[in-house]
Amino acid sequence: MSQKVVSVDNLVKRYKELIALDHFSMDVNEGERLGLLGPNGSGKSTTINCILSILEYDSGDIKVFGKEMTPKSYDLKRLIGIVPQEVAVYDEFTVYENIDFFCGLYVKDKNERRNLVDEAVRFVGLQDFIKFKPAKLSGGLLRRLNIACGIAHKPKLIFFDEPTVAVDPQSRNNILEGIMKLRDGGATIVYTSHYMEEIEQICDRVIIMDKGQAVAAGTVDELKGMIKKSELIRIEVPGLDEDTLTKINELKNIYTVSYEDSILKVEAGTGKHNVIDIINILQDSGMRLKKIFSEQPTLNDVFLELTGKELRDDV
Amino acid sequence: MMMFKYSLKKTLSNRMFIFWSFVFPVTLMFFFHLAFSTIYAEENTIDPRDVGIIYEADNQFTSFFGSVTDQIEVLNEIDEDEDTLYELLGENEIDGIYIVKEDSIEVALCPKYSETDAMIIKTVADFYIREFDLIEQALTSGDMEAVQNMINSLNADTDYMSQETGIYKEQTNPYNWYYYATIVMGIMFQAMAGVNLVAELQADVGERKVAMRSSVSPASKSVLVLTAFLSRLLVSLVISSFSIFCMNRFFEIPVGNRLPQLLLFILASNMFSLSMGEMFGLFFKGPVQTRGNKGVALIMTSVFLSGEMIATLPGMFERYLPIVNDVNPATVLNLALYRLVYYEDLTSFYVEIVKIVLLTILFLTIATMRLRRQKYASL
Repeated sequence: MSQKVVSVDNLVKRYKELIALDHFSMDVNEGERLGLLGPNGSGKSTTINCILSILEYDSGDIKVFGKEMTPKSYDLKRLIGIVPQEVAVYDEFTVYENIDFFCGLYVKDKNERRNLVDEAVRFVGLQDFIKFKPAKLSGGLLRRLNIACGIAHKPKLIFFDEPTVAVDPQSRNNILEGIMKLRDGGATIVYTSHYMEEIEQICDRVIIMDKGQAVAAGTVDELKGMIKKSELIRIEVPGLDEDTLTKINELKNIYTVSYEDSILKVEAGTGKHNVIDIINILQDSGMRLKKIFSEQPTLNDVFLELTGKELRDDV
Repeated sequence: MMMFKYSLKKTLSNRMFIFWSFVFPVTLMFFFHLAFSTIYAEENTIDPRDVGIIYEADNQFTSFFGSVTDQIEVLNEIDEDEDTLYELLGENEIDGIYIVKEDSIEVALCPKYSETDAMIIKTVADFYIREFDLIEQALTSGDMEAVQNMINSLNADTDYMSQETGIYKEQTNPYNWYYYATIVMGIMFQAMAGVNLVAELQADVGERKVAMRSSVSPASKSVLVLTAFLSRLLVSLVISSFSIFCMNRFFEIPVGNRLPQLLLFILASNMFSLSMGEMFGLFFKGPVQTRGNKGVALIMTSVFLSGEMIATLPGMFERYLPIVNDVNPATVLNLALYRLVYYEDLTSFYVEIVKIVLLTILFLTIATMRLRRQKYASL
């Protein structure tokens, strides 16, 4: 059984009348990529700041690497890296100096630090920009610098707090690939985002948060399995008859079937062969299929079904 | 050492800080120099008083008087006959007439005489009457050095009388106050480095959240606070010293000859400004920029009240509302510098320094306690 790297139990954090974290609990296992998914204001960043012991909380227990986390837990802090939501670098320093400075907060030895900084620069692909000041970097490059500053000292536990906000798709992919590589290198990762696609892409396990509570937790497949809706299948098939529709409706895992303007629309539950089963029935009935679409449920569907609202405002 | 180096670089890279604490004050002093240096020279050029001399007797007393007045710098003898002299006097063309009798001198002044004119002209006559025996003795024995010494002493007295009286008890060029106020303004603007320091270390203040990275790192907060303070202090000390050097060297404003006390002033005033800036950063509300702007507004008010724009303002407060000078940091700093330069007795200088140091200790204690905290109620 893998070791618990982070253990949060019944965490409560209030801002006057507002309850930011409402008896929130979670565990992070060694080598895991855990995603905290939730809309803005759901308590993701608050959770991270409490774990890092820079934010006061009202009650609850937090353990990191099996030890209680306090502001003076310097031995634990050495093992932790943070990539904050905002780009937290000094405008006065170059790319190299920024990484060197923040790495220097953890590593005193100059030679060791130089190697680590060089490695971090290569890792985020900023070799051509080491003498640039942050003001000269694009949004994507700035985000990469932000990451390099947080990981240069090779932490065992890394918190990524929405690291891809306002980043172009190409840079986003680079960042996500980098995070996967970090996990492959043995780091445990806690990744917060309100972008469900990112969470689905990189996280082994997900905790869905809303109003400071854990609404659901599990692997992406487990979460999708928690909701009724599973798959939406649309097939363009002219001249479909009632008998065939009935046969499809009688299939296992099928919730609703409708046919309009030559489009067969089927909502199906969990099951790996829904599309194949339907296609078999249509072909047996001699139907000529034109286009087939299958939409898998998303984490937004999970969130919608569990909370009654969309995960993101712009969805 | 690494942290100190980077902290130093951060401070030196802060263009706004360098501008307000060095470039702006030195530029302002340059314009003061253009505006005031000739005014003061013209105002304070000793304009010789035109006098006539009427001799009513012919003896050693009367004959030596002419030899003495020839060497008095503030007197310009008009050589005319008695009637003409009285005519000129009545028309205010000359300032006075010495009527030299057998053993006394009477003075006649023009209708529009000034108190200063009267004092200078009468002082010369009184001096001659009082010192005649010594003058006579020296002149008859040929001891010209003794005569010259007496004349020099008289010249010094009359020269003093012909100048304005300074704002604060001692006689000086009143325009110098503008320069000292500008130096103090530059020092006060070092407070911006204090605001910046708070943003760098206080995780719930800065917009860039760099303080958050420091807070979650294993680096000791006390070391971070000390390093940030010392690096800024070093830069501030260099800037202030160089500003004072420029003021003295290029604009010829005196800074006195008490180097240890001057260094003490520079150290104490800069520590005070930095700690005051930390107070701005910690206790003003809003984003860092807003906190800094509020600090600038406060500094400008303080500097204005200290006489940066109207040099006589502190003098007015001293007369009617002395508490303003006592509580206004810029005036306290100004007075410390001013008294260091002009006062023989440094007691009042040390009083101002003690005020500054006590306030600095208070500010630093509060700031250090606040900045060392590692947990925040909100971020």
